[in-house]
Amino acid sequence: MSILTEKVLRERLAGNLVIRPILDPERQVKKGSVNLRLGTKFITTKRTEQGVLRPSKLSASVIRKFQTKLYYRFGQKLLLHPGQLILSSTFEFIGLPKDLAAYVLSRSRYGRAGLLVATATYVHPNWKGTLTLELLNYGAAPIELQCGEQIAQLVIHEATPLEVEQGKRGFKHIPTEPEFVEMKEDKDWNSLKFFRKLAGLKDEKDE
Amino acid sequence: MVQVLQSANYYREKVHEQTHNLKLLLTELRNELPSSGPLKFAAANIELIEIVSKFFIKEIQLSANDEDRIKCCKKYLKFLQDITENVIPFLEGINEAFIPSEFLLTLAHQTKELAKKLRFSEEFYLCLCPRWDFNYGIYAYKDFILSSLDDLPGPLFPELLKDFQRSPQMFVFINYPRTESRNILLHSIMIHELGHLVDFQTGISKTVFDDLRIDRNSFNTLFKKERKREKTKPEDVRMNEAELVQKLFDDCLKITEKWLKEFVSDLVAIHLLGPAYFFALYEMSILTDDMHKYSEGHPSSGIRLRVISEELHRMYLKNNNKLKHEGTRKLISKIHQDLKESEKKKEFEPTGEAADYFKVAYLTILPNRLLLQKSVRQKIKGFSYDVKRFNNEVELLFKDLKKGVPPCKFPSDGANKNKAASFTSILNAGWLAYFFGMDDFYSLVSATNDSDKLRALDNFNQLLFKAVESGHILQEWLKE
Repeated sequence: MSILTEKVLRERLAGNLVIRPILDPERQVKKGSVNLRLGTKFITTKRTEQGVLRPSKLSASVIRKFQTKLYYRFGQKLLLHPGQLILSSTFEFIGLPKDLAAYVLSRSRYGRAGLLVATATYVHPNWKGTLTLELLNYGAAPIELQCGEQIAQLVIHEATPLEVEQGKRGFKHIPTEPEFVEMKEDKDWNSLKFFRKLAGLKDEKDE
Repeated sequence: MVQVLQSANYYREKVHEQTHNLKLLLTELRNELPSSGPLKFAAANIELIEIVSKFFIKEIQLSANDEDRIKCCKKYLKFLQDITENVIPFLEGINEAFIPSEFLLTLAHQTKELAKKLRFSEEFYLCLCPRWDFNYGIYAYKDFILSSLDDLPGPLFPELLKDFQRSPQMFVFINYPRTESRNILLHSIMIHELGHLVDFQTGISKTVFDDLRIDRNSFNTLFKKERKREKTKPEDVRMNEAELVQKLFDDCLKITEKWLKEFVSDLVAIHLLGPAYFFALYEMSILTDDMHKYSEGHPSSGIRLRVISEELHRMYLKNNNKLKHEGTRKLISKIHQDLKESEKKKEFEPTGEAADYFKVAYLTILPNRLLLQKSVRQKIKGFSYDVKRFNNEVELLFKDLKKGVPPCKFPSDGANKNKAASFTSILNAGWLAYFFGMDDFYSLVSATNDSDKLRALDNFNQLLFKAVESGHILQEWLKE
């Protein structure tokens, strides 16, 4: 599956590939990728005595205990301290058609300053929304960011057209701001619980 | 002991203490504030307290005796209490992550544009204020402070009032129901509140008010009833006929003036926002069940809708002004007809307690509504959201929404090529989708049961908020 070149990208953007708004198409759409800007909404994780964050069992009520939501104006600056993780999202809304998939990556200059932009980088065909970014400063110096700066890049490639059966996958949320993913029941958990029991390990009470 | 606690010195100390505490609290809160509007607001309050306290100290020195000094202190303490009760809660509650910030920024921008076009005399800072009561409202901070300062005694305070009145900064608070914070479509009502600002600056209602004559028949009916009632009162408190006429006349004028302001703000809103305002007011009247309720401050929603439906009909359905979207055209036309029928059957005429007073205002204003509509039309000529714009823009944005895409810009072909979508067109597209596109949206997000549909509605609102924010930023970016 080939990566879309600048020419094809521009053609697809005039068709069913949605990335909007692209404020500066000349500078944002480049060879094989589209630069994405930092949005205005953020989630910071706060320290609390009330429970433990278990990525395998994230429910809305548990998540809220750890979250502080913030709103910054477009152009406003924020500081990311060493070791700090903040969730944000792309300013651009992305809508991939059924025959395209994408990866969201850090831009190299930010990576070299010690900033990690995203870890879950794959974007499915037929996906819609703003992409949640996991901003992590793994360097030793505080990093200053501005809402609206071109912080990430989206590399888009062709994919075998996805067959989607409407209504069979349950409620499908279209994100417009950073969010934790609420985990649904996973069959693996029961299997792993079985192994814990087998090993004589006790389960702590879920918060 | 009691005398010690009530001495002038005691009061003077309390005044210093309270001033210090309040300034400290405001300074602490200021450090936490997220953006320029509230920051300036907190700073303005600190400055105000400093100025007032300086004046106050001079007043104390000028006071002839302890009794006057204590009186002065009490008034000043009341002023500080007013500030504490009305300013601090607003500053404490302003976490921009929880107020509709995207909406606020766009609304502030709209206000600035309006201020430029209509040549407002003051500089505005718009602040949104969530409230627990289910209502929208507007108040100007300057008016509130002026009324608080008005109570302060002494020869120096008139000077202070003048200084404050000359200040070009004006903080305007728009209240909205906290429970509806994320209901962007209902926030269309905020444009009515901006209408008050337009009216205040342009004096539309004042001009119309000067031309109105109180309806004689209904006033005579009111007078006869009140005269009868007056006669039942003891002689020493009873008014004579001339006094009674004057009192009733003043009361009716007061109600008429207030109602007129509401009608004017409604008409300004319908011009600025088009059908979106009409639908929002209709929904609000259902939620608050006030289709037939009158108060001294507000005419019923029914008659307000009737007055704006006439204007909307003229703007969007009459002669060459044809609204293309069939569903919206039929909906507006149907509501217009229903309201017309209701008025014909006199269903909107005030009833119940105080109905006689309300009838005077009703029959004074309603026969003059053409004058009212014309006055608003003339004043805001040139930036009315007309049917041509609605036809060219709204359906395109509506299509995006049905596909689950925030409608923040127009396609790369067509007349509006790559243009940013305006706040007004986005809200109208939102209402269109709400009435005619929700089934498509539910199916898009696979919302099959009631709880899914409620979540889908939240998601729909989020898409609109995102569109409003992105459209505004794109518009400003393109200007830059």
